Amino acid sequence: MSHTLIIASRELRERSRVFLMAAAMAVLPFIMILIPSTRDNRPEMIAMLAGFLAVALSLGVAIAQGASTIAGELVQRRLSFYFSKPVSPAAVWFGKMIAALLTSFVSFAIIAVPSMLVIGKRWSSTWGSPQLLVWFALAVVVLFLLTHVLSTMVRSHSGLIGIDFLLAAGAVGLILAILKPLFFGAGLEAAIGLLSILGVLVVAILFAAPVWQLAQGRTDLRRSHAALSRALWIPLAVVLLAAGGYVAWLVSVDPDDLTTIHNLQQGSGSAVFVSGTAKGRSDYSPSFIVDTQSGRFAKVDAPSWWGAQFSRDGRVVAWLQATSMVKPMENLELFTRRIDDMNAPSAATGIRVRWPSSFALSNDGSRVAVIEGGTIAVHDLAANRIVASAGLPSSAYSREMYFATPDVLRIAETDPATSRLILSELDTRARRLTETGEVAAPAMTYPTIRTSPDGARIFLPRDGIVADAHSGAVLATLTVTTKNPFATAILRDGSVAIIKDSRLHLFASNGTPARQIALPAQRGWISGEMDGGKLIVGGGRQMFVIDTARGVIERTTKDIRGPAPDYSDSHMRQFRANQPLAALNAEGKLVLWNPSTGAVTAFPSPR
Amino acid sequence: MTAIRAANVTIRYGKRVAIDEVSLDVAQGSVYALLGRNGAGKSSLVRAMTGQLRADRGSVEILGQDVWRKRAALMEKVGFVAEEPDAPPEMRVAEVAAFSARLYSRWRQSSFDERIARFGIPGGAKIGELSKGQKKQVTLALALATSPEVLILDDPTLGLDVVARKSLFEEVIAHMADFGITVFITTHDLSSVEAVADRAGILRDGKLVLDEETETLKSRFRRIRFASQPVALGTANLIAATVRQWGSGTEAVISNYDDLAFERFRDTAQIGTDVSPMSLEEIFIAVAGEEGA
Repeated sequence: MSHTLIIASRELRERSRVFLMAAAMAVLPFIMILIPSTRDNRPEMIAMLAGFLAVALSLGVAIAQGASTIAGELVQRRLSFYFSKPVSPAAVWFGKMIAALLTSFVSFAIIAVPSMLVIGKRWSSTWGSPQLLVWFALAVVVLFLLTHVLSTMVRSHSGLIGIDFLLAAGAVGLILAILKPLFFGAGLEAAIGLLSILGVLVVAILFAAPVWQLAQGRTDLRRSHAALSRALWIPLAVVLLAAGGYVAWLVSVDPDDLTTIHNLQQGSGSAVFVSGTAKGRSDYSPSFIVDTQSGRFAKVDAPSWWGAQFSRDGRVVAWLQATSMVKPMENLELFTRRIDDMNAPSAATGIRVRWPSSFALSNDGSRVAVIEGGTIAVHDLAANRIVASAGLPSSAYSREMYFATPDVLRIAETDPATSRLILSELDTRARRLTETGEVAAPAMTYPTIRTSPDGARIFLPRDGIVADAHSGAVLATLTVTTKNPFATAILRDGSVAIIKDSRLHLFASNGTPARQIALPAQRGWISGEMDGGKLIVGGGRQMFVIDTARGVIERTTKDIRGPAPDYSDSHMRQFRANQPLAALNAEGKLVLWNPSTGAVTAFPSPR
Repeated sequence: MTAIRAANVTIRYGKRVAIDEVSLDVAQGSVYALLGRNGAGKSSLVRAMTGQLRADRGSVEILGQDVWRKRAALMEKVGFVAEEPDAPPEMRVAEVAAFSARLYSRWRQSSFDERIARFGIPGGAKIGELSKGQKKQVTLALALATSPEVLILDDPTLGLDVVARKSLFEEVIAHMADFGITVFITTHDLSSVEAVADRAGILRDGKLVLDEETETLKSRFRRIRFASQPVALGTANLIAATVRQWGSGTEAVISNYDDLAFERFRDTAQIGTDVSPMSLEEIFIAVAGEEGA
């Protein structure tokens, strides 16, 4: 240790000129404010100039010293001065590093401190929090270490530098590959944590590697380079291997491991989309498509907050996923997967969109409509081609759309200027977009509609209007309205259900109030309709099966939360009788709930 | 007892072999002169001996310790004068001494002060402002002030004036040897080193082609000039290191001279001969090459 300090003090003395330069620069801001034009904002001027000079000099010194310390001396054959003396390589490196970093920091202080003392708090108001100083100090350290490494490699004129650059590129690629699953699995906290640990370890390697460089390379520049490369790449490979192993473990989650479910969607079939976090896996939130009958599952890179969209026949699921870690919102691709065959792989459709594009699957999942900017296009997924596209008349970005038939796409959008809901249809055979009707919807701010199972009718919850989905002709106006579209539904028989104020209001297809059923929950949502005119309703931590014909709650299952409403599809989901639905129990774990019997069973395990 | 031992040392720079399987022993308290032409590999071997360069094969021990592994500890006992003075040019002479004083437990400030005063080097002068010879003197003064048990000098006379050279060989090296300090020296100043070297080695193209006690070496080398030619030295088992034309006759350097054998040869050959002993420099030229050191 003492040798380290002896070397550091010697090296510091050698750099005394830098301190003189810093002292001269410290005076500059005070000279500059003598210029009459700076009279009005002198404190800011001093802070700006002193800060700029301090940062520039200390960063410059860090770079210059990183480039000259060790590597420069090796070139000039002066390092033998130390190696001919009874000092260890560690003492040489740490002594030189301490001196170099102190020179940078002291230079900064010489320039910055006088102005800080003179202008007081104005300094921090100009330059922000003291945390900035910590980041700046870290930048100085990293710059010094990096320039040392680069300088050694470049100055050695060794062919090894090619391998170094290949390994550096490989390391960056590997780091991105390691972080990618976390990034796409919404594990930002985990990714940032891992990146921070990697950063600290990389700095530690940069910090310690020169000791090995000096111990093994000593006064020979090329051997020094080779030793430094070994000391950098081998530990880095170990670190990246460990990081890769950690991430592999982190992402090796299956639906059984999920302890907090963020999104649970069930289509009309037996497949569910589920995403959430698992214990001890930070915020990594994988998404799965799970077959609730067999327990087989597939992991998909769909962000949990966007979820997925099921085709109404329950055979295809589609989702958007980021394809790049750079500007992920601008690099989205539509993926699909057959869910009647769990062996089928996820398929990239090649349809690239940017947020907030919306899409709709046809009833059989063979086609997808995508609105991107001002254009709507219908793609045939099997043929991988666009079957029709058209420019949209308005620039509204929020629209509801669904396939009325396989060849007709129906689009609903609001016109804020006239408070109308405008209905259009894109006929893929005629390849023509036609405005088919409109509905006056004064309460509607954006197109939140509910669609009847056959697609012929729409319901506007905020205005309580039932309208013809093609012409917009008002078929009924209900006496109850709600801002929550997911608490409403048009049933198979055309009747309308609305949950409001702890009651389920039922209206006949002509809008006549039919029944009111008291619900033991303040708020609720409608999950779907089951065969036999039975509604599956959630409220609080209970699920209800409501017989709409008899107007009674047929079954209440407590401490369970059934599938959430389908936010991406205006149609209410249709379930078969006795079809088990995915749900969450009181502990938030996945279970199966049979609305027909009320039985709660374990979620099928893939293990 | 052996102070320095090099065993099968090989040093490569890329594909070029700078030192090829060199083995040598330097007895404690002796003076060993390593000779060789420019580029023969002397400095590489010295760098390996001071732990600054790792031998690709083989090992070097000083005072029984592996110099690569124990360099830092050994440098307490080893004084080293590099071929090129390596002290930072910005440092003043006194600063270099003060810095060294803090690193060596057996530092003798008086020794350093005396030596630089003797050669008129001001303590306040910067290293970068000194002449080449003065830098060498400072480096030498630094090495001597550490009270070394082994002194390794890599071409220490380079840049020194005649007085300084004389001082180095006659006072320093001879004095060191008297005190049992081992001296390993590489030099091109063969006439001076001849007087102090107990043993000499000659490096040629990285190979140690000769390693012998100086006196033995000088006794077995003779220059023989013949009045006529050709000469059949082989008949008397005399090995000629070099044979060349000399006027109308022949000059041969014999590397295994023996009085008895030569007398027999002269009697048999019946030709006029002139036998003369050879200096170390002459032997070096004969062994290392015609172009000289």
